[in-house]
Amino acid sequence: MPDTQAYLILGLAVTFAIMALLIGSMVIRHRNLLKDIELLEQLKDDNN
Amino acid sequence: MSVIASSNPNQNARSGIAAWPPLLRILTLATIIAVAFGLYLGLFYAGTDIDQGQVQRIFYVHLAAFTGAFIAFCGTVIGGVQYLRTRNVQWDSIALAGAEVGLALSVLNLVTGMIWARPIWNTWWTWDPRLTSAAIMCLTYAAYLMLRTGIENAEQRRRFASIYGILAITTVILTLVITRIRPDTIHPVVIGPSVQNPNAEGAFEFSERMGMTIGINSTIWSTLVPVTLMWHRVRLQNLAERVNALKAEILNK
Repeated sequence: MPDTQAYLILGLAVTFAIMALLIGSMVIRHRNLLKDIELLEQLKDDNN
Repeated sequence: MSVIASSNPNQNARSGIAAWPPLLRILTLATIIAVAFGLYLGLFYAGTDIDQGQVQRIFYVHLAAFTGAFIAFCGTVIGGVQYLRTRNVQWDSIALAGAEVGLALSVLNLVTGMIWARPIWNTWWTWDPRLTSAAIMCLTYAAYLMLRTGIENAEQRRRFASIYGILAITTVILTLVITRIRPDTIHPVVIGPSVQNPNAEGAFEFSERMGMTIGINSTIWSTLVPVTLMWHRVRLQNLAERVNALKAEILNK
């Protein structure tokens, strides 16, 4: 049986990295949008 | 539609897990547990392939990621068709979510395939019909996301994205069937009969345990994973729509 374990580990690492990138980017965008909403609500109140 | 996203912007604006609808919380937890279970089956339950060794286990993620991408891209088609019919912005959000989640899963499919190919085909990449069509599929959906940001007018952007998203599914179907219609591919056809493929390299006979692991992982990745990720992405898009609405409101004063 060939020793291909290193490639399996690499594959799993890449799987976690890609999923973490997708989920992490969603979390960051979510936080930024909440900050934007807070700021815009404040601006709207100031204008009123 | 109410399951997909709250129509109440204040509810969407709340932060943290507490703001998630109960069904989304359950779905997210179920997805995490199911993916971990599928991984356990792939790593410990299914036997080791004698010819390929441990690297064959990548296949459980590789195929599953493609099934997930396929479902997500179908979401883009449904969202696009429904948006063109109803002009309801929520459908456009679903289409966008499908494209983004589908792209991530198809990149995962492509990269795990490359890692598997290195020890089995002795190369990271070859311009095989299946690999080429999968790369074209990824690029098509990457272009969808980029082109969306390039159109300023929201209505025009949604209309364009809907049509593009519907047409883009042809690249997914092509990727799906290409190993059955092109005799010169070296990509193995693992599931179902193939009319050809004397050139296939890396095909493996799977045991009952392997078959079960493939089935369970593909089911998890084609149902729970894309649906959960798309739901979160739709909620994100709702926040973005709220920001745009607030900006317009302030600028129009």
